[in-house]
Amino acid sequence: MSFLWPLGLLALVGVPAILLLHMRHTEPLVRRFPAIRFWQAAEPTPTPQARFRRPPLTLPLVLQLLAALALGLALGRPVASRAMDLFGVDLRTEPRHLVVLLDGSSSMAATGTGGATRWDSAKSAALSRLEELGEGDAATVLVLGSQVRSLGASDGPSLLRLRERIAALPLPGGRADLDAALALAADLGAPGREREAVLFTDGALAADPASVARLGAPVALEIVPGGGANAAIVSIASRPSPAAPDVPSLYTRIVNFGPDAVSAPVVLLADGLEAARQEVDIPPEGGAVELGWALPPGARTATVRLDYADALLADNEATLPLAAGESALALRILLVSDSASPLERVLAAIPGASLTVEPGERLESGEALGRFDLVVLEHVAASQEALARLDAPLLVVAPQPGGALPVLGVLPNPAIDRIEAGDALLAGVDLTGVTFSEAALLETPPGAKAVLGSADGPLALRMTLSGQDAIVLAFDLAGSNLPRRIAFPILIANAVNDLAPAPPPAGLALGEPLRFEPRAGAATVEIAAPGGEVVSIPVARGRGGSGAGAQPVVHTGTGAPGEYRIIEKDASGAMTGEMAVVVNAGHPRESDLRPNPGLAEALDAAPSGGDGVAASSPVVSYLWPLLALLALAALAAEWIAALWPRRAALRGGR
Amino acid sequence: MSRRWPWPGRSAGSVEAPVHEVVFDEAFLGRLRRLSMLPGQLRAQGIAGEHRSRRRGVSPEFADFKPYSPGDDFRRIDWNTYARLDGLFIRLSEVTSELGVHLLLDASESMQWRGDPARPSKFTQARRIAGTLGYVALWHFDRVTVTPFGDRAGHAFGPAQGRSQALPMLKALEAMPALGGTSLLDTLARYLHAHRRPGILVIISDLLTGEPEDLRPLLRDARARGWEATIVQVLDEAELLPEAAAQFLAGEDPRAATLVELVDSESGATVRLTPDDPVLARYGEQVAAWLTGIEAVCADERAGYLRLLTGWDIGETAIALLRERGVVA
Repeated sequence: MSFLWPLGLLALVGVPAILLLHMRHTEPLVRRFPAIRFWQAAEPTPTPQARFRRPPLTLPLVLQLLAALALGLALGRPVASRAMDLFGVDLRTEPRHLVVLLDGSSSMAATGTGGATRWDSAKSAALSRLEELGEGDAATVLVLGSQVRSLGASDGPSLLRLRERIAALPLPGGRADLDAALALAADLGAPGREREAVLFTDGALAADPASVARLGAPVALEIVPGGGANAAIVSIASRPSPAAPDVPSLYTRIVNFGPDAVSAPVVLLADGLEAARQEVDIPPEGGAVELGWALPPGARTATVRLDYADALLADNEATLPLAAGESALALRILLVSDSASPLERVLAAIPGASLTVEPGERLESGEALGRFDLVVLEHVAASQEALARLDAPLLVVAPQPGGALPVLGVLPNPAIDRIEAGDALLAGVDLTGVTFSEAALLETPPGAKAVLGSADGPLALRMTLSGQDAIVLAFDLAGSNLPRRIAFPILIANAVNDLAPAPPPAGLALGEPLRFEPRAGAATVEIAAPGGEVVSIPVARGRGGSGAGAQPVVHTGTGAPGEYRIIEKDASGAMTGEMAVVVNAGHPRESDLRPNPGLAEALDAAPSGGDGVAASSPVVSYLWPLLALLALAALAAEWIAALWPRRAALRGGR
Repeated sequence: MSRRWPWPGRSAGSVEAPVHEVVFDEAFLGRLRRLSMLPGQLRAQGIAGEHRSRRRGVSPEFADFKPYSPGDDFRRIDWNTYARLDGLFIRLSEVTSELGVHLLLDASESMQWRGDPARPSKFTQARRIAGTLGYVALWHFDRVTVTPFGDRAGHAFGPAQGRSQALPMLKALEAMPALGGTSLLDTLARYLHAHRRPGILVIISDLLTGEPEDLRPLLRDARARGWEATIVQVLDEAELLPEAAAQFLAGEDPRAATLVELVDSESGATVRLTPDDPVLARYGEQVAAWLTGIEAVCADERAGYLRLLTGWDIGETAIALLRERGVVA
């Protein structure tokens, strides 16, 4: 036997208290009597006036002690680990495992009846269900956003904490993957507890009956109330105008998911100033309009706003950053070359990159050249020490003997005869007709991979050089027709994309995780949400691939639409760069607030049972009803024992 | 009835104050008319009365005239004699015995007590007994005197004779006050000395003063003087029975009687005790020995003895017992 609330046993102090009350000698009852001489003869020794006396063993005392003992034990909520019943009533309690699937997709931000959002209504309903759980029950709450977040509780205190966490949980946003959540719920089954699942959603979800069946428990569907009328800007993009490169064009797509047609103005804002306005008529039930504008030259951000009051206002506006600012997280590229090269033009043309060109002699001078995300060496023989000082991924073009690379000689007029077609370096690169005048004869080091080769030696290699990821192009660009072909910038762009850290995206869908690789030298990344909350993420470094670059940073708290600021700081805490990422709420699926009519059918079609209840369920019996009944019976008997003599006397008197 | 939580240690208060009690009612009076007195061995000393005499050979038609005196039944006045002699005479048509019935009623404080509100006090029960005996005596033209006593003799009713005196006697009993302490032996000695003409002497008391042996010389003296004495002892169940005593001491809650202080209703003396089973058993033994002593003294001195409890119905149980013991017929 164990006690679920041992603190309740403190009530057992009532037992000695009752005993003390009965042991207490107090003022005697004063009775007049016709003659006391017989009493004097019957009680020759007068009763002492001690404060306490030996407890009188009377029936009322025994019954009172029994009642106090039973009540004290009952308050401790004892349970027995075996099956028990009371007058045929089974005292066993089957512990439950409640799986709460809480839809946290972007559509749950829609305002429902009474001004509350669907998310708030779903949380309230989920909290109500969690309050029904008792001791021995377990709960798992899966919050469905772009990622499935799992929260669990298995006892009373943790259930309380779980409810507090749910109450304070912000809308994660993004697209909810119900199938993934069901698969996770199936794996999180608590053994020995009867599992039941309930899905709180606005209905704008889809489920695979196979996923529901795998859960092995019935899934109850709780649809939170809310209107389905919503229009949203689901797409926004820009591109330079072919006719005027300085004047980008903006394109946007607006969809009406409501049952009625929408007529409303659409406003274009350039850097916060109204640049254009247009009345649009959008057909109902998924009807869409596409709009295009020419942006003012020099605009840094463009915002499109649909002035229409619907259930989800957040997706009535979309923002697009048009150009990186001076302090943006630009890709820092160092080109070490002693001569003018077509490489310089190609690298300078990479969007968002800043190029620094240095002569080869500075490489060996030992001077600090600064932090770079990519170092390009052309016609340079770089020593191991120099490469170690650079501490950045390497693109080596036409390596020279005497450096860290083992150059054995020169290959005259090499011809391509081996291509690693699936390698990302050659994606979209057409090398047909490409000729080389000479190339360095390289010894392929262990672990290196030849992407492009000739009969006598490799022409392009992937390898690790001085602890960094490196791509080596052995051929000399000066004697090749490659720089004059379209394949050249594609090849270099592929190499840069492959080696340089992936920059943050300019825009994200609501709730979609923000993932990027911090630049070289970044020790900490701070992400400031639109609401002002700042999350600081330390940058982990290690060999994620073959090199020693920074591990990617993933931030999932993108549930609120707006501008997120990303700030990189070095080890001293100084800011090394920042940029903005815009999260727009509009999404072709999440902005569609109409319930999925097939969801309920999918949930119902799944067979219930399965492995939801483990075969070896532990049996727990509550003993407090038995003890409470015993205490009640003792109290009743005590009252009868107390009242019976008086009633008998009254009957005798009549 | 007030209810209290039955925790021990709370004072249950003292005995209830005396309340006015109805001593006689119409039903009680109706039953009295069916009763008549037995004369016992007493010889008739008067000229009136309906009791048949044990003297044989006397003419049943006429016995004598007697001058009228107050209290005589005026219906027996011989008006012919009055016409001839101009004087009032009573005509005795047959030889009957006239009994002087003396009812000594204990009106002390101990008699005011009762062990249960549902029962009458001992004094009320004693007055009902006295009323019964006096009514029967008056109905049969006996001369009745009712004398209350406490530490001294109180104001007596009578001597009275005739049925017309029945209601005044009952009213006098109804209004009879308490008279403090008890001095039965002195009162009885003085009463016997003051009344030279013997008769039926009925002492109605709880006999809680003195020892049984103290009664012996008085009863012996009364018998020697020609009195026919009967003692009617009135007791409450709570005095007589240990169980009833325990019930009285416990009050409304039996568990509260853990410690009791008893106050003597007359002397004011106190005793503190715990009425557990051994004490109650010893109390019962003491009371039984006391009653046995009284019965023995009465038997030795040829005095009638009758014990009545306050819980008994005077109209049925008590009268049946009076009839059984020959006090009434």
